[in-house]
Amino acid sequence: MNIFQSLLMYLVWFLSTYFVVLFMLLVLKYRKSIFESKQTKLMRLPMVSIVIPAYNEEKSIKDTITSLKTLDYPKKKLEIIIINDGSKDRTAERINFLKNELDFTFINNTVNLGKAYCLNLGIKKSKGEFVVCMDADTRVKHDVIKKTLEHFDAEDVAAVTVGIDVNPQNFLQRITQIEYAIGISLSLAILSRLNTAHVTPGPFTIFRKSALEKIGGFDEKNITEDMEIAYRLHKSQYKIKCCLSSKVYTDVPKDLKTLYRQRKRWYTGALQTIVKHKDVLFNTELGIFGFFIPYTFSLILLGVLLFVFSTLLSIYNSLKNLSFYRLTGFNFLSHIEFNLDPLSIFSVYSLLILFSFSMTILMTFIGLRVLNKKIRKSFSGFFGFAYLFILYQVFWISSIYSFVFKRRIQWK
Amino acid sequence: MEIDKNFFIIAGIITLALFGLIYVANSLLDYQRESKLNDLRDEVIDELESMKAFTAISTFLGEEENCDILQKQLKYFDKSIWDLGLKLDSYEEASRNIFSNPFYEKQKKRFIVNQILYLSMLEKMKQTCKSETPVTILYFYANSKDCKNCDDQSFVLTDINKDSDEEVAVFSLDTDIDVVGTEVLMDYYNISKDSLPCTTIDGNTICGLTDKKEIIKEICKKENLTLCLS
Repeated sequence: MNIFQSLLMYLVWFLSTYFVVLFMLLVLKYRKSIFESKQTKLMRLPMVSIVIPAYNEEKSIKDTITSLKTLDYPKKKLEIIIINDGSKDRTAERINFLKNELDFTFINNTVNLGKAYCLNLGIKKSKGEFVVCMDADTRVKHDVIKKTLEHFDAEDVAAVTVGIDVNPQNFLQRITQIEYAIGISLSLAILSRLNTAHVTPGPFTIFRKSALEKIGGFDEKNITEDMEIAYRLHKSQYKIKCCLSSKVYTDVPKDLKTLYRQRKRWYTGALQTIVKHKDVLFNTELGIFGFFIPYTFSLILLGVLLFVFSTLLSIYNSLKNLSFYRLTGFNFLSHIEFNLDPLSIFSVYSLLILFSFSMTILMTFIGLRVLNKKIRKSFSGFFGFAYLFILYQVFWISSIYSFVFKRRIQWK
Repeated sequence: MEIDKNFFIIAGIITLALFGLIYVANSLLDYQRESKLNDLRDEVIDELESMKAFTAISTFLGEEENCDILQKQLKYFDKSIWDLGLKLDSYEEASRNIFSNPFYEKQKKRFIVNQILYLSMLEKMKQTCKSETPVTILYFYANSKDCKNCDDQSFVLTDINKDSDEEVAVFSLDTDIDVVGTEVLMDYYNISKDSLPCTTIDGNTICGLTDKKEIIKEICKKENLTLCLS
């Protein structure tokens, strides 16, 4: 390992370990309170509008609409707006058919105008004091509206996110389930305590409509409008809260190709957002948020740099070693030996890597226990999650490339 | 709800403590590595001493009569010193950090001195016992970036040594390490630092990268070893 790589490794280790330790401390501190419902009962039930943009969702839209029928909220106070965004499949047809089962407003765009455009259109048409922005592949729990509304306990609370769960069908989805539980739901619950929630997840977030109107709705040019809006809410001194006492279920990618496309969109959007809102970096007026964003982005970029550097160095060394064999008539067998001496295996760097890996496992374990998830049930996902960081690096590299070379990425 | 600012400080302290734990664990491993190398080096020195004693006794008991015993001892010693060299390299690699550890510099110097002592005993034994084996290969290299082909040449000689451990004795001499014996040998074989890597096979010097086939050809010019049959 050369000096540059060593220093980079120490830096990434310190930044990531500090983050994990802080996260675990906060999870342990708030392990009970993050699930508690607000004890204050709602004085009145406000009008709530649910806006659902749909693009090529013929397979999931029925379940989404059916789940809305179970909502424990007065029908008179509930408005549902479904927007077909120029789907190329039979989404529009399905939505029309489901009109017999549930009362909702249907807007049918003949051309694809983008998710943010559809959300803004829905918000404009909505009559509710609160607006739920929801994905067309998400199923709600019956109490989600009442539980989330309880968190709007101050005028500066602009949005409330919920726990996001997954019904896994395969190994990749089991890993994603852990990721959604720890990396999104629990993280947002903790980050909202620090007033640093950096995203209002697309599957389900309820907004105060006046706040949305004040900041001008969603940015139609941004491919991760749910992250971009969170930045603007912070800049307007609004708060984003998280409610884990209810949840929604969302569909997640079934294969690596779809996961890659999804993450590429997320991460490219994250870069787009940070560049647009660079004024949040080290902005003391935004409290911890102004420092949390540069901290996480530095960690991500340094991690990617370390990954790229280490990978290139490994490839170079492997090729170099392989080239040695040309001098010995490609006598591969003579150099195969297993060195099991721990004193040769364990260097300071392998200890750092081993320790980081163990910390990730511990953090996942604590997170799952706090979330009351059964470890045995999520066993394969539990261990798969610890390896996911390798895939993340690949996704980030691809996203950075797309961002730098301005390659077009669509929302679905 | 406001978060207690102390959390950030506590997390920082825990992170530093965890790093301290890793540092201590690594220091313990370093200590273990150094102890093991010291033990191996002591074993090598003991073997050298006992061989010196044996050679001294042989001079008045009759050297030629004791050739078999001496050859066996040297064969055993060859393995010990080769293993020490390998351990020295792998432990140095494992303990490598931002700053280099002076312990390994000292150990390498001692290792080269021991190799040269072994070389002189081996050559003396070959003369006394009129033996042609093991074939002596002196390998002059440098760890510095200036020697571009040294890694390649080391690989070739390691391969040869693995193939014919009994018939060949390879002496690796790092010219970056200041040892008088190395300098004397370089002068004797007319080797300059610019021409590294250089390989001397029973007195014949080849400089520059030489593949396995060429080296075996050179070895087989003089000796008829098992190595030459394949």
